[in-house]
Amino acid sequence: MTGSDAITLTGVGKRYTQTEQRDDVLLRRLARLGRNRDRTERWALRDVDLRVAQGETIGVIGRNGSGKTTLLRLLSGVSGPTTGRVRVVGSIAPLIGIGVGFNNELTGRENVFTNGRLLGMSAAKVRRDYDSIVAFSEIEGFLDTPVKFYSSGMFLRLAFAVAIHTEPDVLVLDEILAVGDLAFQLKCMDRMREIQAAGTTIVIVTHNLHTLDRTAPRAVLLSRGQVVYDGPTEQAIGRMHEVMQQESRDRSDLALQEGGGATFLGGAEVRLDLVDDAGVRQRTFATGEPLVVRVEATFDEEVRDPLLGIMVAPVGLGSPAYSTFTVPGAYSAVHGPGRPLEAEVRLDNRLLAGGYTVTVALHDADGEVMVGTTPAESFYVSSFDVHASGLVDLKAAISIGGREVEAPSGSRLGGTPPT
Amino acid sequence: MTSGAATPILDLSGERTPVRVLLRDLWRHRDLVRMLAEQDYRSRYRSASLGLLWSIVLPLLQGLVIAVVFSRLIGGGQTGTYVPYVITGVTTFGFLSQSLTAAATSIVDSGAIAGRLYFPRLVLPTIAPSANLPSLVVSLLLAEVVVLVTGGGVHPQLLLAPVAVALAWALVVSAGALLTMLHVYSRDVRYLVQAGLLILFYATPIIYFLDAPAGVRSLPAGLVPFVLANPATGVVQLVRLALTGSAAHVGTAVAITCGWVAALTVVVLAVYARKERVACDRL
Repeated sequence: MTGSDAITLTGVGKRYTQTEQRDDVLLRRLARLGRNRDRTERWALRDVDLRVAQGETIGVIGRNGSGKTTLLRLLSGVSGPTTGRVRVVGSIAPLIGIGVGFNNELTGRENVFTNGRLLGMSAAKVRRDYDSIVAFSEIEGFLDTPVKFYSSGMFLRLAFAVAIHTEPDVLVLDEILAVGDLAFQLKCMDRMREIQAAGTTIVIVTHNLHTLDRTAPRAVLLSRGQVVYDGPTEQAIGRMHEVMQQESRDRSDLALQEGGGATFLGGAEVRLDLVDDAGVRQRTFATGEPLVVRVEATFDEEVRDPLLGIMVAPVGLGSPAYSTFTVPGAYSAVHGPGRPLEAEVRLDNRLLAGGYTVTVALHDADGEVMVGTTPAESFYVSSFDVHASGLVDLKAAISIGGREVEAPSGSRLGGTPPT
Repeated sequence: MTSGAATPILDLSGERTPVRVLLRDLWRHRDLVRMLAEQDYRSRYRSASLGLLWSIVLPLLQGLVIAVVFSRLIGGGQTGTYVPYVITGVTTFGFLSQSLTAAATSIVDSGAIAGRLYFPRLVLPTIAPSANLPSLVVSLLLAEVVVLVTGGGVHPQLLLAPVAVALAWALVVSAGALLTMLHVYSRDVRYLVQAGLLILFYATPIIYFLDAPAGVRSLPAGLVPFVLANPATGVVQLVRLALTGSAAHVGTAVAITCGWVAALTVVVLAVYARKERVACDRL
């Protein structure tokens, strides 16, 4: 079987038909019979082609609603494709939602058996692996106790222990298996590597891009149900951030076009300035020097209690270095035409040398609808005085043999200032 | 890794599942039915100190109360035959009603599992009827004790008891399988089932006789065909035949029930072939 594809998707599309909630009421449904019903159709996936070789580990990334979950459901056979073909060779274990299928009334022991079987293990295999599962869970003393008396930590450990013993040909993971204390997490990671080394094909759907980078060399980026990138993980993550920005812009364009209610949709023009402590506009900031982002937004429509978010990302490296937003309810005001918003975000710049972008966005009070965003503004950080390389200055204090060792200042390990 | 020829292959094109694949998957998961039924059974009675006893005592009590009350209404002096008659009916119908109620909502009720893990959806409506089998068997044993105590004898028809239990199971599984799929699309089904069972109780010969002994009021002849068309009648009459040695119209009633089960099975397979892989999209 080596060398062949474990997973083949050809022209796969999945359409969900959403009927209005009221259609679930039989009388209404009967009354509407034969007439056009209020149905909205949504393609969660469209024309997806994907081949995964036996033993390969790939990541599937994309923002919420991009079709990740649907892909996962198709791969695990929970749902069928509307168009195209899904083919998976070998046994599949979908680890989607840990502890799914656990029955609270039953003991840990009983749950191990049922859950193992639900996850695709044969009854004989569960019996064979039972001791190993128990040992992995580290809760030997509680197996005859009903699960409802478990602490959440114990519950997760046992659920993980079962999940991790499935040994399928194809493992479909929703988020990387990491839970519990650090020691247990490391154990899970070790076990993942063992599974990988054993030649298991692994598909990981995840938000945790940093861990993905180390686990899967290849990633598929989904956007609006389509594969927009398939290749090395690092590039895929880079593309994901581009796509996210594009989609945010499209969304705010849409908001502008559609107009609508006060807080629900509205357009804002957001501008930002980068200034130093003295209020002077700058493009280059030294590590340790405060960076102030001045934001000014004007509104076409009335917007209530907007949330302000800011993201700083290193140029060329996908994931943001930092992002935050104001807490809903922390700030209360109504903005609109003639009532602009002025804000100042003061950042303790601990970034190390390199190019960065900063983006500011305004959302409505629920954080759902983006009202306006700035194009990414770039700036540079120089760190001549810092003897370190990387993204962030963690200010190491090193002592060897009880004696503090000072790093020579002024010399650099990385980063070039702009000329 | 999986070795040899037995490598399972998931091959889906379109949302339909061929009936052959449906049955093959169900066969492969037959131990899952037993396992989940056992789990259902154990978890249900674990927190009650009397456990399984409740499920036996309740229909027995219900049967006794009905028997005592109605024996006075239907005709005096018949308590001797009437008590075992009602108890066999109530016990059997209790099984049908409880199993169907649970089976009819089984897919939605286990949405958390069904939406995340694949196993044949047909497994779900078989769980509750299977989990209720032990209490049905014990209740029927007790009912047979009542028959013996009230003057009935041991007879060869008793050998039909397993067949009667199997028929009861097949009826609720096939009806439950269809209803639970409908329930995914319309939540009214839960209440329609409750309403339907209420009517079915009186459309089944439980408290009245199809063919009463002399001096006792029985069902008006004009209503007999309606009662016979009710699939529950065949099950109840077959149980009576097995436990008491005789039951009116039992051949016709059982044949009609078998017809219902066959028709339901065909419909269920057709519906599941179309909907099995997409039903859980709606959960």
